Amino acid sequence: MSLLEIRELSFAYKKDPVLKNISFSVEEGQFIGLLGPNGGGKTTLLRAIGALVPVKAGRVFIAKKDVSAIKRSETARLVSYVPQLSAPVPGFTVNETVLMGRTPYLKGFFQPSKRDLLAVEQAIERTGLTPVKEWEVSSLSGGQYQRVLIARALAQETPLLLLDEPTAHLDIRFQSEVLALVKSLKEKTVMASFHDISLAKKYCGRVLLLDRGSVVADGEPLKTLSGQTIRSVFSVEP
Amino acid sequence: MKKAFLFLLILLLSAPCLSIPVSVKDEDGTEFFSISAPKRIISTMPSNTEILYALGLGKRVIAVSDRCDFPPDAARKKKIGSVSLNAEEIIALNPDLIVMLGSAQRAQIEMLRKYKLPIFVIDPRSLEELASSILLLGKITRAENASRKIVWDLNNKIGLIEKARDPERRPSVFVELWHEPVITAGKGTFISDIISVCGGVNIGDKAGEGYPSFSIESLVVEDPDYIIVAGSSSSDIKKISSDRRLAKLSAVRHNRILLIDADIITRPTPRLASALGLINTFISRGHE
Amino acid sequence: MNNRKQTFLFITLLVLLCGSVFLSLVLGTVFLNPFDGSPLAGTVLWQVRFPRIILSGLVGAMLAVSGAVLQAVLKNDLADPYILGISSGGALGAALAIVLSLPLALISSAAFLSAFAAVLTVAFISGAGGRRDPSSLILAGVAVSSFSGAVLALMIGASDKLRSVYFWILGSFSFAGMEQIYVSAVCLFAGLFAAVRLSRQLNAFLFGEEEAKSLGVDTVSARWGLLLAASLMSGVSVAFCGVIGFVGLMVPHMVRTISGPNHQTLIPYSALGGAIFMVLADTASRCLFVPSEVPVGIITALGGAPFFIYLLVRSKRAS
Repeated sequence: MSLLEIRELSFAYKKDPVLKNISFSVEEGQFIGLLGPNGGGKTTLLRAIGALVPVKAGRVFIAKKDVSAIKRSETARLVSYVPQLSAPVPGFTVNETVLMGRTPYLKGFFQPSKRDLLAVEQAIERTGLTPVKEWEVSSLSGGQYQRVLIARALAQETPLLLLDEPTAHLDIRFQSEVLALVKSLKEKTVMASFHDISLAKKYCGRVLLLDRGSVVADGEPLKTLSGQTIRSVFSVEP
Repeated sequence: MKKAFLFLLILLLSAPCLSIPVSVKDEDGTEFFSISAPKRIISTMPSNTEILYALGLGKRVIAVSDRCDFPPDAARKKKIGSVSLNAEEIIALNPDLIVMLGSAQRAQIEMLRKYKLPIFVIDPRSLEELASSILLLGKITRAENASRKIVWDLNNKIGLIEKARDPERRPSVFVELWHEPVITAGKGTFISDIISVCGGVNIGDKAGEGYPSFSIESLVVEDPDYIIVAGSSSSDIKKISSDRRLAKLSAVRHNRILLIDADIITRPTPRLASALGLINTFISRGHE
Repeated sequence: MNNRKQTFLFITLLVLLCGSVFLSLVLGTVFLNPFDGSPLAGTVLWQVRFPRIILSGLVGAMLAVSGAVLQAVLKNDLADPYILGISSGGALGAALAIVLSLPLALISSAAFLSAFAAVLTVAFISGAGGRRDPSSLILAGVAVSSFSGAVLALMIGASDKLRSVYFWILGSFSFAGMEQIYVSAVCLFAGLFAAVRLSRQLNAFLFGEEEAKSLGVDTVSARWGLLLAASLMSGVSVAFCGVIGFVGLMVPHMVRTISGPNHQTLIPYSALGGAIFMVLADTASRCLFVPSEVPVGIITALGGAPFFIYLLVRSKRAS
């Protein structure tokens, strides 16, 4: 079985169907770009994979485990999630925020172990945050904070990493930085949703096009993102 | 001679029909004019009801407040409210005298004045003032003799007590009106007055005027010689006698606790005289 | 905050607590030397003052920790057991139990249950319709508080068994007894244990429901556990001492300013801070107008209400 397997996943908010019978699988090490018009279901799909919304129809398997059947702390060791918009919590330092990523491993009263501290340090280094690790998060720029959230997800040490529009609120110069960083995480399987098709083309090895809750295209970017497909899905010229 | 005798006879026979108009200033400063003795009296305060009955005017009282309970006959009279008075009812009853208490009923007095009703306000704040209030009420109701008798009794009692008391002895007294929290009577209350007439020192005076709260700690520190509990049953005394923190008080150890009906020591009425007697007897008991 | 600073702060708080206790023992109707051997001093110090001091410390800690927990779980900086009507709700349950002449343990349980019912009501009212803005929480709290207060006033008027309105609505430590101290100590321990154990979850809540879930926090059970703990502590406090407000609001805010929002420090420091605050407030209530006693709720409100207004204005300005 592949690392991530989605089988006939359907989801509806109240009576509104958002995801319609989606099935696909993802192998280890892939960097998948999730594309599609707004409202197409990208964020909901990511949330469903991360077990952040209750899935009643269909299954999500990560490393052979059904996420709806296991405890949340176990799910959190399999998949980590970087949200689209997240306000920094004032009073926490970069270090403390990244340490939150170890929550699934920390037990009750005990202080973080050497292992935990090492994971945090490595995550901070990987994201180039070492010089600011003692800084208060509210004094960081948007791009820096985005990297803090990625570091937190890295510290979680999960095989699967989900990112919801990681470049949506970043300046262009930060966008390439963040994406290059994500691409460099070769040992992880990454799934990120994109607003900008050209960015997805540039960085992802595989793209999934989601329109009105269904997967309409799936494959290598150059092949999949033909002019015709884009026109029909986005109603624009590529 | 015959003419004089006839004149006297007519005068005597018409005496009952003779109504002497009287103008009295009430304690609010308002001039109250009445042609004849009021026959339709309303009392809005339990203390005033008691005074009216004591003056022998029970039959002329046509309505009282909800809380008027003494004497028992008063409780059977028509009710016109307590804190909020039923103005409509009062007007419909067409009274010729409404007796009200100044300090406690200021708002109600202002309200009823709007209807141009015959309001008579008394406002006694001490034993002395009570005497003059009773005399005033006696004047307006033409029950002067009765009022003078009551006042004479009261003053006589006060005089006897003051004469008989030992000037060297100034026992400290604490009056508890409520236990949770402890509330006592301070300066300017009838209780304070009574205690000083009896030669005692009212501990409550230290807490200010009116009816202030008193901490348990202060009670322990003051250690009064006598404790008076205003209540209705022995369970009220038990609240003090069974409180572990107060176990060492000398009044508790020597069982110098008196239970007294709260009404007779807080209401400005002739019954204060009996309260005076009870309290004097109580604190005259020597140290055991 | 590094470890050295933390240790320093902890020790400072302990010293302040001991200092407040000492001050409270010494001050009152009369200034007393604790080592004075006279029987009068003995009674006043150990029978009258000491139980009050212990109870006020325990209650202060419970109210402060409840406040900190509620602020995180309900995601509202203005949350506090009094403002959210949880204290009034608890008072209602306790009053009912007293009218039925139930033993002390059942009175505390009744207070706990009705406090929890108030929490659920407030959460339901403010969450109904999907809107979760901060003012709707406060408004729900006002509604629950007014309702409970009205019913309580009716009960007090009708029953002699209930202590005066003075006690319930304004708070007082003058009825401190050993039974209440034992029960309070147990509840404080239980509540603190739960809050400290769930510190990481509390931290995760600060980042929002979704992020907390993604970090592996079982938000549903954590929320239940924390709200139960807060209800237990505030319910028991009000059962023994009446409604005392604003402690749960002020103390966590002050601690946060000094040592940050990390609940691993916020919870224990709030407990200590709450104890200190309450012991001092009780001392003031006993000493301001000797020999009368000012209800302690008035003292906490005098400081707390302006503080609440300040926070409200500041949050409105920020949004």
